[in-house]
Amino acid sequence: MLLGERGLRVAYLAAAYTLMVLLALIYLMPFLRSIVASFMTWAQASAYPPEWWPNPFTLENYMKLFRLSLFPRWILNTALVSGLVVALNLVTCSMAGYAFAVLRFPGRDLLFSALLTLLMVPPFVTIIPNFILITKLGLIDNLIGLVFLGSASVSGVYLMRQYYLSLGRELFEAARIDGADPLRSYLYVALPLSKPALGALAIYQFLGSWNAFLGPLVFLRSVENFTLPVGLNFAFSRSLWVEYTPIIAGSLVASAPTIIVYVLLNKYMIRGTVVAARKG
Amino acid sequence: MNFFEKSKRLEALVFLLLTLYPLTLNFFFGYFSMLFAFALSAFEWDILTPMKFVGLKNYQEMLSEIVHGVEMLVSSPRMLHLRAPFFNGLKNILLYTAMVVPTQTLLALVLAAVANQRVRGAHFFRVAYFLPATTCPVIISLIFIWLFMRDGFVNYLISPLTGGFKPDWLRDPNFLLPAIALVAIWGTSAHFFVTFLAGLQALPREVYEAAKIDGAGVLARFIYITIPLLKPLVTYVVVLGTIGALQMFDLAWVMAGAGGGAGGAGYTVALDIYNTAFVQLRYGYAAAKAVLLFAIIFTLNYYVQKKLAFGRVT
Amino acid sequence: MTTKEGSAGGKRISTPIIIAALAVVAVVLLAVLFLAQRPPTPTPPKVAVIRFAGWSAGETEMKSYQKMISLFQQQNPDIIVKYEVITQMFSENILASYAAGAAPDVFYLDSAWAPIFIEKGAVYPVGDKLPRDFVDQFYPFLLEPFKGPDGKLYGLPKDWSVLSLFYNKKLFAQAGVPEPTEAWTWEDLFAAARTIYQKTGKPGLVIHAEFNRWLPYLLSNGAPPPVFSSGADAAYFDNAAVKSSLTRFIELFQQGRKEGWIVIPADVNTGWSGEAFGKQLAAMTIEGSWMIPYIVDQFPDFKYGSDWDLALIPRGSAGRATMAYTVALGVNSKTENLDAVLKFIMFIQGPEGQRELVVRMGHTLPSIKTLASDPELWPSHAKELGFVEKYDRVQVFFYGPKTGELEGKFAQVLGAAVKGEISAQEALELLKEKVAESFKS
Repeated sequence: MLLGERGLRVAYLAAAYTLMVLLALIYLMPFLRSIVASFMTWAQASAYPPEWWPNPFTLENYMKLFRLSLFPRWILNTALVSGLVVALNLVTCSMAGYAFAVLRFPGRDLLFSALLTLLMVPPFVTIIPNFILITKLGLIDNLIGLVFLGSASVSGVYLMRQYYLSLGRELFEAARIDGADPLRSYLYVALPLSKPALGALAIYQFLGSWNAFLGPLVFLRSVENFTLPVGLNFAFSRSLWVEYTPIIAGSLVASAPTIIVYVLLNKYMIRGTVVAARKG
Repeated sequence: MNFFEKSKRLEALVFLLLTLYPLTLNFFFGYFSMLFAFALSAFEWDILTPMKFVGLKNYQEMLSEIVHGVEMLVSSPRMLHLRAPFFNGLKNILLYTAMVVPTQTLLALVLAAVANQRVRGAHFFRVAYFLPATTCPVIISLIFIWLFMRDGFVNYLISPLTGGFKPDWLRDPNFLLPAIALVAIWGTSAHFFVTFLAGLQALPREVYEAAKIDGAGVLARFIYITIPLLKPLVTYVVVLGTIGALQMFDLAWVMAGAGGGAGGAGYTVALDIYNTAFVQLRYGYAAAKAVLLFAIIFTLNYYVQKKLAFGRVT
Repeated sequence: MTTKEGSAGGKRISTPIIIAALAVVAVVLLAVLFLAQRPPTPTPPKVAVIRFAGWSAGETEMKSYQKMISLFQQQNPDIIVKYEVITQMFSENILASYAAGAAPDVFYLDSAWAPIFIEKGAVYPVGDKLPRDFVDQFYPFLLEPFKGPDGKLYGLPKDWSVLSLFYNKKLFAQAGVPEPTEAWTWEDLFAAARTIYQKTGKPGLVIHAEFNRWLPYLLSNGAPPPVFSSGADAAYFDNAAVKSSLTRFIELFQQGRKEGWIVIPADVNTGWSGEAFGKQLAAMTIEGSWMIPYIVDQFPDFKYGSDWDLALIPRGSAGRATMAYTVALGVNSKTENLDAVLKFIMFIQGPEGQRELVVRMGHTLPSIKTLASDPELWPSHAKELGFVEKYDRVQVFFYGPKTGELEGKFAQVLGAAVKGEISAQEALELLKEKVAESFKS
């Protein structure tokens, strides 16, 4: 019997690994391609039939990036905005998500639906009203303004709420019956269990903020204030053509922090077991 | 009972405290713009001159365009995108959403389940599956344009499976929308994979132990325990996925161009709204179209949430 | 997990409430912080601040502008110029800023968009305030799109580009076809393209399926210049010369595309004809001056003079025509610093400004006539300027108030026609419909 079990395990592992590797290939393939392309000239990168090996191998695309005098400044701007946005959202979204999931309040679900509805508005038509509002508030061309706008993301609140719901109402019912006041319950029951969701939230907000293009495009004006995506666009797209290979190199550089953040948070997110106080 | 009321009031107070900031911030910026934009649909505005009130005229025009579109669909479909662009955009985006949302949700689930295995190297796969979500859509579209060329990588992979048939993804009206959908699925499944991964962490061990003891196999455990427990998160993924799919703009812009590409197959409602507002300078009419899009999104999501009845875990 | 303590909401203020209160205070503090973040009121009342907005052409252009701006500020210590860059969706952004009442004082005004701004009174008629001899420095045909229906001049062109025939000398030599001359007609061009394809396997001509690129062909064969200012102007496509030349061109294109000697950029897997030409995938193209710096930048081994050259656009039955594309500097009609702005315009667009920003940069052609003989001009640009007088008509890219919108719609139709999705007849019908449609409201 032992041999059969071992065999089953091996088969299972083999199947699991094959699947994982296959998926990984599909998901990684475009990346590999862009890494390779970032070392080619555009003439070669866009050649047809497609070519695989950079010939000549050129660092020119990356050099162009580092020659940009404002490149470090843009990275700094983007890091500042993203860092602040993540920090603020971690606080606001977990608080509000908890409140919407657990606490009782007249009209709570209606309020929540109203909030969610905001996500459903098509973007372009709201650009002009938003622009008017931001200008009147004096937030134009202001990085802190960008942070402020994104400090309580609706989708973040939604994520936290759903997460708390999936933990189950019984958990919080138990706490309530035991007499803990709501805030205590949040701090001592909900928060400790939220690590995976907070991790996901942090990743999403960081990603969204780091790669944001439309917001900074509309609300930033001075070149020194640009964030990375807008800055790259400014540097490499002319009114009639775009220099693609430096942008590819630039976006790889720009993805690096997100990947690092994700790797770090991943270890934080994957906990061995989650203690759940379920009573049956 | 005195104790109860007091705690209820306390609860309400705490609720307000915790939600005040997000609610005020978002309602202020969100609703002002939304109501402004929707009110605008009753006007004709070219931004530079004062607005002109036209009542329901924009909606009338939109309705007639849709009717015209249906006629064209039946009579001369190949000219549809030239004669009734808005209807074409509507048709395309609905097809697109139907293609993208179920696939991406399923894939994200599968990826999370696979990457959650306790095998060596799982960490690497967790990073690999998330990578697509870390780059901006414009670059992704550029890379995929290259991958989708007739003698490109995608065809190279699938030609043994299709017996040598190599679709010209980007220039064949029948394949353009699926191509865009594939790019979107690639990206969004990676994005939502993280959600499900987080969700999987929170699942209680005891239930699984109990099920294993009862003799349930891996797949059964997955279907009958994991998925129901993840329902709230599934709702989250489906809702956000639908909203995102219906509003899709940037992928189409890069892969199909402002006109929607070959046979207008890549033309979406968001593209149309952009054109109406900023190229034709008919902001009021664009607002009316946005109202319609909003109504579609809203209804669809309402239906989805009803169906998936978030929350209760038995 | 059991709860920490039993007593519920008693008399004392539990720690969580304190924490909550602190949180609220923190939020309030943040709000105050950001409000205090507003840019400090900078200028003493005597100094005028003008905002100048342009789109991006990369860091080098930005640096040139900044150099000229600081030079200007040195010469005019009571003026400060704030340079803003809007990288994408430029006109939409400007429109949005008008709606917010915060439009810049001076900004790029594309000839395709100018009529709308002029018609709606959004820009100031600078022609009234600028000295006569200053305005006379510019090529008269470039001023056309910026003249309002009242005849006033609303902006001066800051630079311009012209369409020329670009050809690949090596491919010509390979096919044994003699290079284009001044005597060339369109038939000569098509014949050469065919031969080159037969001899080298590379298409002879790559050209966009866009109305503005085809206009030289139409105009040189007798078509009148297109002006669309009302739905009735759809009748332009009923004009005999227009119908015959457009039909001819479409059918030629459809046929030639099947045979392989004339292509659109997408047919050779490129994004635009400049890329196709630079990669030497086609022997000829009709493109604008912007192609020259592009080739220098992206294909440095493909050299002007030895590998490729420019020629006049061929003659048709009614003469020779080409297209001009230009951008002006528009002034916000509600600007509060008109004098400062005028001084700025005269500096940036005058010979000194253009020499630095246009001649040396080499992206576009100078709009001042005298600079055509400037020694610092790139030789290729100098050649283009030399061609100007040889054309019977230099048509500016401007068809009336809906130029931008119509160009996009026409491109869709022509694209479908060229691919054989619709016939030439149907294309003409659709073009008329599009014109009528855009004037409907």
